[in-house]
Amino acid sequence: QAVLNADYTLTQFRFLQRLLLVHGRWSYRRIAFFLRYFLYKTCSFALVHIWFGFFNGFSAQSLYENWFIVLYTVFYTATPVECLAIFEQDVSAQGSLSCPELYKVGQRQELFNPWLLTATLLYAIYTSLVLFFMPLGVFHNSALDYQTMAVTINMATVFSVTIELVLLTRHWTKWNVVAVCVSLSMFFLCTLITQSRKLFEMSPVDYYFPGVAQNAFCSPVVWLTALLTTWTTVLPSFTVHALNIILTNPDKRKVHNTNDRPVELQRSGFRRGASQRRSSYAVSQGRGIGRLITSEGSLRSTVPPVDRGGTTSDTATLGMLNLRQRLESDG
Amino acid sequence: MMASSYNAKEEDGHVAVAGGGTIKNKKPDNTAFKQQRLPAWQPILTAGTVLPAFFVIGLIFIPIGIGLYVTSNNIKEFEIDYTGTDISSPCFNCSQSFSWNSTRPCICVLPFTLEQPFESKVYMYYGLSNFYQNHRRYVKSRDDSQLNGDINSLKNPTKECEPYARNEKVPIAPCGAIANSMFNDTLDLYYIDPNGTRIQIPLTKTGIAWQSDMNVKFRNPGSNTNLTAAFQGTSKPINWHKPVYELDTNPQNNGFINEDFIVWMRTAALPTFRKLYRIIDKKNHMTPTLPRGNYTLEVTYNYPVRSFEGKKRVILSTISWMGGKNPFLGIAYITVGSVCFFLGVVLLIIHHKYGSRNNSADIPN
Repeated sequence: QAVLNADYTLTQFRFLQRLLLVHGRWSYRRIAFFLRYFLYKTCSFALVHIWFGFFNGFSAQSLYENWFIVLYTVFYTATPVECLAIFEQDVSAQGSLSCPELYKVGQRQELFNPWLLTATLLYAIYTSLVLFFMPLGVFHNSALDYQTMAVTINMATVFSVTIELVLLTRHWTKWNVVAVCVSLSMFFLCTLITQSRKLFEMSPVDYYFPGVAQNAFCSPVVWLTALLTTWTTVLPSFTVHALNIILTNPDKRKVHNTNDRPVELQRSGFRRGASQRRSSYAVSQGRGIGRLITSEGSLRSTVPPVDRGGTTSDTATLGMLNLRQRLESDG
Repeated sequence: MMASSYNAKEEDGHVAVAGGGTIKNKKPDNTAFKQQRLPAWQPILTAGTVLPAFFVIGLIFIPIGIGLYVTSNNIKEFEIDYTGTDISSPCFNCSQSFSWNSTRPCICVLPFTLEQPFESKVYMYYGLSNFYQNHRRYVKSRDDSQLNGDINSLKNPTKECEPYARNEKVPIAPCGAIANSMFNDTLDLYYIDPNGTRIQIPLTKTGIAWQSDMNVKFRNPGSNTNLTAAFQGTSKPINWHKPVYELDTNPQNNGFINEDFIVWMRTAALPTFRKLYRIIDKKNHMTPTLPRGNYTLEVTYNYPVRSFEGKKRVILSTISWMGGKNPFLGIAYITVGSVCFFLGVVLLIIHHKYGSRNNSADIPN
């Protein structure tokens, strides 16, 4: 029953080290990046409409074609961030096992806390401001029309969020590269298709931007505007990354340089029945168990710790506690 | 319970079942994908790789910005506001006493002088201010099927066109607020040569709309030959003086495919915009298209803008590869390039001051 309810089930205790230090760490990092990036890309693409409201009489006119809104989240930006969430590793498995202090990043909530979320949101607001006001400066009092402006901002948005992802990704597998390339080409392809004349002739109501993409993608002003806007939105993030690299602790960077061999499970380690063993039940959410860990006590009581901010991983903890007590009583 | 029968000595994944035999191995496959061992490139970023990027981008953007700014400055542009808000303006009387139902056209004449000749082809635009062609209710007030020549939509305009869909039960062609508010001032240019004679400058009215709009989006209903019959049973938009099949005598520019109409229907992005009105072609290689001197602009003032505090103007402009005059793009490129360069310098200083301290602490492997 514990097995059925638990998030993670281990058959042997020696697996725990790898589960926590390698996969737990990676998972925390991946989830934190994924969530922050999702917030960023969705907010920056949607908040543009608030600024546009100031210039269209607050009539809630959309700045994008409907097809772009639909396909943006599905085709243009989804696969790269999924690859980030599946493959991202900052330190290799062997490095994670040899430097367990890297695990403290999760315990200290360094990658996902209210401050970082606020910073992400502010960055998204800044991005949306740039995404709107730079093309505004170019299109103001010009002969270019609303639909061309829409395509320009579309292009700038897709480029910006893709480059932001490129800056975030540190572990490039071939799938990451493929995802980024495919997403970008999907943008151009789908825009050309949804704005083609054949589809317009089939249904003028649904495909109401005929000929815009063909016109806009050949216009140098559109490309120059999009590139300038993209680079301006990415500049703060690039600067922060550069600052991190310049000022960062070299310990972690040395770990990068270790060999990347796959790590075998270490056979020595936990011995059953050792009652003075320091427990290392580390859960990266919730603060109740954190106190337990940092106090460096060992779990000998039969009462399982009650965690007020608990998640379903509590059941796993409970299951393992029961197991341990039983083993101690057996051995 | 279940835990009591658990035997930790079992191999990974194999579960012993009473009665012999083992259940299928639940271990995940030992492939590179599933064991997260995919070959990957992890860029080791150092200051030496990151800092040059700032300088490179700065050095790319600044020349682009300078090029754009210089190109934009070489484009000649001349603008005349003819709204007539000021009492001293020639169009003041026309702007005051106007109403939509007036049949007598009001003409005002504005003299101006071009200091420099305009060498290449000149584009004549009309510009409007404070006119929200991007308001949501306005933008959706059109029937693209009707404009595409569909007979059913001609007689039954879509509901989006309300309240400009029917005029006392008769369907309006073209329906909608966008078509109804079409710009209908007539602008004529005259050159006053040194002798004092007035020469009318020839204005081309075709070739001003997008090719994709002309051939694809806008089509006349029925056959092109007899438009009056094709539009039988429909009425003109309420604010128009002439019905749609009398927009031009040239049958290729009449009806829905009239280029002025198409240009107007392509809604603008912002409240201050300009639309292409006419093109002044170059006569021959010797004379400039618009030589230096005195000109007059004759306006048939039909379009009322005073009620919403709008402004009207005429713009004469030459064109380059980047379109009309646009100093913003050049200045923006120069600004962003300089900011980037400056950031690179700042980061270089920070790196020298604080970065070298960290690099000296080396952890032995």
